[in-house]
Amino acid sequence: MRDRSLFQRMFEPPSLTEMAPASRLLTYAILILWAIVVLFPLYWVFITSFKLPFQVNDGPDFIPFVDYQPSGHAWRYIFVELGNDTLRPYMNSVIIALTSTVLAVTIGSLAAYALVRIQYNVKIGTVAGFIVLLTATVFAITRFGTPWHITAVIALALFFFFATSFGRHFKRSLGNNDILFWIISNRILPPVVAVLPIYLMFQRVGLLDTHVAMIATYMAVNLPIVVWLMRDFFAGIPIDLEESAEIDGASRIRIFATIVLPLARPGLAATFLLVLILAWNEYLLALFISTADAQTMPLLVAAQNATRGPQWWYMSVLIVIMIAPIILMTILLQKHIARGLMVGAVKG
Amino acid sequence: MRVQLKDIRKSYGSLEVVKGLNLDIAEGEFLVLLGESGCGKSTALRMIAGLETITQGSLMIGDRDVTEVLPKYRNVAMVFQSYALYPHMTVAENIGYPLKLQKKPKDELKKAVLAAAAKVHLEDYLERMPRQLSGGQRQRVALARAMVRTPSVFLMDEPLSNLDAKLRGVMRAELKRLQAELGVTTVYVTHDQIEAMTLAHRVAVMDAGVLQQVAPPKEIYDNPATRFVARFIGSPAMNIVTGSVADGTVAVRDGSVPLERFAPRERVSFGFRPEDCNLVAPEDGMLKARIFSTEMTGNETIVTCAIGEDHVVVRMDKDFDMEADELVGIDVNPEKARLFDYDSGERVHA
Amino acid sequence: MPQTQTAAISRTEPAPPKFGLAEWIDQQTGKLFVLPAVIILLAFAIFPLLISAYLSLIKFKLATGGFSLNYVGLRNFKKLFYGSQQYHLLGTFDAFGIFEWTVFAAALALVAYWFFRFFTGGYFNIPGFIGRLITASLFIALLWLTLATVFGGHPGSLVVTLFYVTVGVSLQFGIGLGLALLCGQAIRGRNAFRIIFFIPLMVTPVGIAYMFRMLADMQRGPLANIWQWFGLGEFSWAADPWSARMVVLTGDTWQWVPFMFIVLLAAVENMPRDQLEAAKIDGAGSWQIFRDITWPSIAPVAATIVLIRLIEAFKIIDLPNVLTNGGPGIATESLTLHSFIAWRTQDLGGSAAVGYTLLFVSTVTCVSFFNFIGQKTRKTEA
Repeated sequence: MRDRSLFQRMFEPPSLTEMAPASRLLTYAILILWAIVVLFPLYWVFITSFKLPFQVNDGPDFIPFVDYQPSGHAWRYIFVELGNDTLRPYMNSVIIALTSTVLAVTIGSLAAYALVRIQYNVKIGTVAGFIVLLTATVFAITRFGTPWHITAVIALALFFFFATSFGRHFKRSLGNNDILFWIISNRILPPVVAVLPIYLMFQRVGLLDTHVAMIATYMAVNLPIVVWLMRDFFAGIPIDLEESAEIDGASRIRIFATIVLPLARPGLAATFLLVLILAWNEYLLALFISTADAQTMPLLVAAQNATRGPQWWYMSVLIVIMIAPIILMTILLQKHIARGLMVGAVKG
Repeated sequence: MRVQLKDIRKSYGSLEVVKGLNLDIAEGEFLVLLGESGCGKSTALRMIAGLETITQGSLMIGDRDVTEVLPKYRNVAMVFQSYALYPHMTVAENIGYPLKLQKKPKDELKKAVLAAAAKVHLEDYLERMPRQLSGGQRQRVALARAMVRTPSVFLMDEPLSNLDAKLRGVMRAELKRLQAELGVTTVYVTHDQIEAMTLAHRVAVMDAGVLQQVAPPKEIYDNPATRFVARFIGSPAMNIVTGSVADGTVAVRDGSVPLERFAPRERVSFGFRPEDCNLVAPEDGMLKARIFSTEMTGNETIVTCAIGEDHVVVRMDKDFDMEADELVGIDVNPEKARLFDYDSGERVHA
Repeated sequence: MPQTQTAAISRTEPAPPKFGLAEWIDQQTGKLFVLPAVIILLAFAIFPLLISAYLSLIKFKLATGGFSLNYVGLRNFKKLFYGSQQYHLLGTFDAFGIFEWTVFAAALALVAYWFFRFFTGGYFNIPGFIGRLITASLFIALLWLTLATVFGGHPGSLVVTLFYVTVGVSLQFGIGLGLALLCGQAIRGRNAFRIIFFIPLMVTPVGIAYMFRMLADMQRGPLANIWQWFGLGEFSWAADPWSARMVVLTGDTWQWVPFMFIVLLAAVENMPRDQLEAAKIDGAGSWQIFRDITWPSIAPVAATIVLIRLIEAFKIIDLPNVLTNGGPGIATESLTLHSFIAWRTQDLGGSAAVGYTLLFVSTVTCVSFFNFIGQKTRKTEA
């Protein structure tokens, strides 16, 4: 094997675990090319935010200090002259994303844990009764204009009556997997179908364009993802630990708080980050539910289209401040975020 | 405390895994549930703990019927095969957890943790995390956690099976001594017959959800109640050869053994332990056989002989030096031979 | 029995169950844990779904001092499917040429073969048959629609959405798989690539939309010189339907390749090494290794992530809305954007009807994919 020709040395792998020089070169070339594809748009936005209008309009300049002299005028404009018009949506985004994520992760984790460890048996009759009554309620309110609170109370009363009497006689029942599937399948629902009634609902109660409405909605749309991801993390905790604590006299809530949650911390972190980013990036729901007071960053940036047209130096600043925290988070915590994605995707 | 299982059954849907278990475990007794994996022994233990519901039958701990009582009110302690140590708590916190749940005052808790740790020689490791401990030390933490609250019953689910062979022997001895000292009723599940024989006051052998025999170790070994128990206990296992009884002898293929006590029978399973027989010259033996293989273990030689299709194992001394395929005769000690019904596997008595 | 230190703690007699509030809460934990999530989903998903169904059957009108809702039956859907809004949802049709007929006939033959296999496969059952019937009908209808509008007519928001979904997801999967295979090899700097490639997934889509608008600017963008060299300096991509759609697609692909990449890379890395080495020793080439070892082991994961992407891809709105505002005309409008535009023009009924169309198409597509393609990959795994 000593006297291999140049061709062989280029194209034949030297051993089982190593690559031939030629294919190694090609691999690097492609990977680096894609790295450029990924990084260049970000770089371009970043340097554009330091350009003056004439520098943008004169055509492409690529390297600051060489091709053009960077200037902070756009940054000054966005932060100083616009001031609160920039900061308010920014703070809205922070508040709404953080609060809704904390709530979604809390509520979703509770449900996911319970669905992993506690056996449920929901009678199909009960579910059917509920759906029939809900439809009837909606119908009554919308078609005949019955006052919604009275209708709701009557429907609830009917439901409990039904559930405790007839409902029990149905044999078929739904188990944990059915409930899980139902929760997760809500993700298939296109938000645009649900957002119209949600808009009307918040309009009714006068909460449109408030933090509360945005937080509630974001929490609801992200809940299925939390349940989906946390289910796998919880299922991965050895059941022996929980049984041991149970025998030793711990209540469910205590087991959850002192044993399960501490052990699921990596999973919680992954889920939290993922949902936080989703909430931060959300656009459609904000488009419907917030107009001014509760406006978030994506809305503010999107609105520049109409007001600024191609004033890219300003828009670049906005984009940079919108995506910089996320990119930083991604680079620092890539492993954790990716773990969340992986668990969800690989186990399906 | 006395533990009584009365006709306890467990079914998952139509699958019955424990089929009417009756056990009366005396106060302070060390009872070992022995059986192959999947025989229902772990399920039985988990029913005593309350981790599995009891489909039918009743369970008494002391004078109390606990059939439907939640695990936390049964006052039992369980040691799991995986030890179930809480990885995010120190050794001291692990041991003290049951007492913390009982809301014991801090100083009392500390004292009890120290005492329990001292029993298993863990005083110097109290501030370590479980992952910093060796397998044997983790095992001790689990034991200490079980002892710390002086429960009515200890339940142990294969607690030694994750240890290496040498350590298992050491822990076995310690466990036996601890149990004797504490005098707490213990139900111990294992598939390892050596553990069962060495630890138990009484061994309960289970097979396919059915209790086969409950007896002290020596009794189980000498007088197995069924062919299953006979085959299961002892290593190498008891030899079982099919034959028939007539005229005071058991006739098997290529020979017969005089057994005067037994009534004539068409087909029986004839059993004798490897140490209750001897290899002799072919023409002198009760059974004619051919040596299949020999294994020298150091202090003895395990000789496997072929009688037709059947294999018979004979224990010989370490100087045994015959080669494979040589013809031999086997002499069986009729006093120690046992007969089982061929179809039911039940022991046939004289 | 020797007195032991542990006996210092008085042996607790089994405490009889206490039935206080704490005990009651403990008994109800199951319900308490699940109920909040269920109630939230009922309020924010199921209830709106029902209301939406109702809204799709009404006509919303601003009236003095508020608004009025008139029940109009299926008129909203009629308007969308063969009324004045047909051009918007479905598009404007063009007569089939030879090419269209050939493709359509081939697809019909394929579906027929699929049913033939089902009938003769020995697994025939009624629910399976109905499921296949729905899948096949939707497939044929969508294919016909695509053929009738894409090559000649003008595709509506439904076809454009399908374009984003099918072409986008395929591209993302292809590129993601390629990068994952390259990156899964024993190379240095794998971790750096992994982190860099992951970034776009997390970037706000609205930001991506503007980024690509800047990049795609043919006069002032970074690629201006290249466009000029090609003689495209005066070309405006935003005015041409297909170039506008391609820009949207590019932005979407830039964002979503990382998702495919990162999950497939994990799958590739999890592959049993010994199988790979055994195949190499047996002299298998790279393509054979991919076909016989790599692909079977990553297929279930691949099916799952494609399904996840399908679900999300149908919801696309940020990019077309911000990048092109749906234009030129309606050329880049997705169904969600269409629904939003209808809502903005006070056409609540139409908006809900478009939403329901999207719900139907995406659900049937995703369920079909799961049942007829996703499940198969799981079987090979076993």
